[in-house]
Amino acid sequence: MTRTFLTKLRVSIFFILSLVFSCTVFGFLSHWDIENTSACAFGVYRPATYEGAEDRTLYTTAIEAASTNRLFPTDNRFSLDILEQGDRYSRTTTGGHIPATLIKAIAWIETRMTMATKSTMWSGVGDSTISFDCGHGIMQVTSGMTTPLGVDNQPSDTQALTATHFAYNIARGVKILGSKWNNAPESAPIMGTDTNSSPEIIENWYYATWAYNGFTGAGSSSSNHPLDPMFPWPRTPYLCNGSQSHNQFPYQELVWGCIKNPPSVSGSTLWDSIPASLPDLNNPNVRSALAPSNFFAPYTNMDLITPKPSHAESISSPAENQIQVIVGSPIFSASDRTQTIRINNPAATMWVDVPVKNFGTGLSTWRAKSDSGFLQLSPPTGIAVGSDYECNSSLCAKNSLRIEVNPTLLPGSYSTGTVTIWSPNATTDPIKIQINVLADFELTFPGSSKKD
Amino acid sequence: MAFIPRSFNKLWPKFIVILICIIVLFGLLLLPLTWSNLKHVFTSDNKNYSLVYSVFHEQFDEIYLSSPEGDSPPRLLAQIGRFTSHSITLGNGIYKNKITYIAVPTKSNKSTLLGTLWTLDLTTGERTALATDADPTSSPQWLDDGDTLLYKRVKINHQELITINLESRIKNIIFSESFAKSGYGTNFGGVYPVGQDTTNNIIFAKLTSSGTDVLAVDRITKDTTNLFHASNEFARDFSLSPGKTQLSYLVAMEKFERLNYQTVIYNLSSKKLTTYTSDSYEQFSPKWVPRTDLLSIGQINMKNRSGAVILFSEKFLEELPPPKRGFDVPISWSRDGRYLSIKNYSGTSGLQPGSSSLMIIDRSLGTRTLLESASETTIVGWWSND
Repeated sequence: MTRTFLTKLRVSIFFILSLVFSCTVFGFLSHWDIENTSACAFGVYRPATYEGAEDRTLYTTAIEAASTNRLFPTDNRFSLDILEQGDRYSRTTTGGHIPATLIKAIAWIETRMTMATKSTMWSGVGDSTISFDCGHGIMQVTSGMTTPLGVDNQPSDTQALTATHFAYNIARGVKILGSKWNNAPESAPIMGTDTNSSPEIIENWYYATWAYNGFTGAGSSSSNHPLDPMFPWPRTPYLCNGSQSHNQFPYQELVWGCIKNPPSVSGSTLWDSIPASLPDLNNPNVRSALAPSNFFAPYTNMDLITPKPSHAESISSPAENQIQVIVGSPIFSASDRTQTIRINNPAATMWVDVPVKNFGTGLSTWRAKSDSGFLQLSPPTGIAVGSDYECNSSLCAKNSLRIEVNPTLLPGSYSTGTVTIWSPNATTDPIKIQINVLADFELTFPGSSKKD
Repeated sequence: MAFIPRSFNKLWPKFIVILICIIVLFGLLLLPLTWSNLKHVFTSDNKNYSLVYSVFHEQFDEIYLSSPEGDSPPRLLAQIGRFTSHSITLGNGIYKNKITYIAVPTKSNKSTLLGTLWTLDLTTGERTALATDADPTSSPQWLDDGDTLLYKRVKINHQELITINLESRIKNIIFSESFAKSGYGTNFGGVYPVGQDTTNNIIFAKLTSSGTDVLAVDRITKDTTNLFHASNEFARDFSLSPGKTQLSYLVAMEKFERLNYQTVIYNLSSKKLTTYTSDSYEQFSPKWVPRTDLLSIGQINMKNRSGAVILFSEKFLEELPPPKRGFDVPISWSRDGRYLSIKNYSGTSGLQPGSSSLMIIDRSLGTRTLLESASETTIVGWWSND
């Protein structure tokens, strides 16, 4: 009896331990999976950014400049590609521009035209808006923002600028929208076969706008197909006033709704209303183009004439001095003085804060990297506000990089590392800060420091 | 008595006989006309019905309860927080005092493609989370008289239909298919749950590049049967008849050189397809009337310029009280067939519907009651806790 009991007990204990182990492993894997899903370019960090004034003038001006490729025309990462036009078999490059109102409406749908999280003050500094699918900033730029693309698995300068600086974010979003336009005819349908597919006509951007959110077909996840039975029929057009749910409309109808019904901020509308036309879904030709049998690349049968009445928007390009305010001439600065950190307790967390300043104008995106594993940087990227920008939050003055020592990774009781800070959009040279760490405690495991 | 002629006393029995004969004759004449109507006159079950619906707000949805007469302000039952600007997706109907919905969590750091499946007990206010992997674009469906829920799960291009028993919480994947098309370089196609047939099979629509098919899947063997090809295009708004023998839906058909939705009915027993031909220019949201073989259809009638809901069966046609302007779209009937909740649209067509209002039509009194016009509403159904 006793032996049987002991055997059963052993089996039970083994079973329980196996269960605990399995649960732990499963829990770890689940956690890992979640962490991985929400990683994006900056991992767990949310880069700091500057939020403009509530009237969005800074942003609408930047959008107008970006729509005609006047923000960063020589920087291939942020310049608008030359737009193509014509029919499927005779496409030509003409330059052209993107209607600014279309971009403004997209920015409103994406983030209510904000760069930072809701808790950030207007004209202040706070965390950059990052969505669940790695959409960053005003334009919710996702392409190129899902994983770190720089050296040593670090974010690249392009990613840092997109996440922290509204003008680069807008320029990047506009570039992506332009690339969606240029995907036709190779991998996207053409809207406007009767108007030479002119990019000046807002209605001709229907398919490119659809693609900005994902050129997804009916039945698929996050469908934007206007005939997908998941959307109600009839559906009252989107009014862009917060009274209607987004999931009742295809993405392009949300944008069209905002183009027609501009939102008001502090009593004035953000742009002039344009009654942009949607494709006539009762028209047999339109219906035929959008038929299930046609939804496959290169979408040849989905080409359509311009929805009528069509609307061409005249260019409202900002003055050169306005663009200069947006782009600025940042002069980034940080103290290069050698810092010494003493640690007398292995459990203690010790750090030094290095103020990062912008003695120039505009916004200076800054980045930092360490050559030593025991030096951890927080945040790894941020924004320094120039003197010409209004800044209400205390974070503007306290903008700094925290260099923290991880005692468990110290190679010796006296360790030295270097932190480099630089700005991707300022002409200033990188600044190197030497960090000396004196560990005044006993550690016993290999690779850790020992008392001299 | 003095002023009544004497002759009357002699004649009155004849008068009575003649009068009875006239009444009987008149009744016989009217009988053929009224027969079909009598068949469909609802019998009130003397229950107090209330309409349950949700009202959209940017950060949350509110669940309200309203009497059909609208004589007292709607009662707020619950406030449901969820992901900004994404309303909850409500299941149709109330079973065992519960409603069901899918909500994308408030601080979703994963995706708006993943919703939580909930039930809300209208009597206690208790909310129960049943699953965290539901597709929020697809309404959950009640099965087995409220014992089970059916929902859809999407993993990129892989779509699944899952049942979950409310008591045991046991999940069962009853259908699974990948809609990824190699070489197509795009995402297209998926499944749309419809309901449960007489043998408890799950009926669903499947959209592919060939159009819309309707299928049935056995919940035990998971064998799938292709019932019929509904359309080469998009078929929508499927509705099973109370006897679960007929399936109505909308397909676009050409009329006056325009493509508009018209109602088609498929008989699951005889496998016969019938298109409802009428003077309707455009039709909306066919919904079966409980306990009858009547189908209610929203429509825009060009001939008499009416946007009233029509009730129709093989031998019956009735128009509900018409709107002063625009057109009505039927949404949900009370179980006794007396009340119909509708959405009234102020516009002229499905393409230009104008603004919408939530209203109730009392078929007994022929009245229309406005419940809500300022906010976006979604109707859950009628509830009686008598």
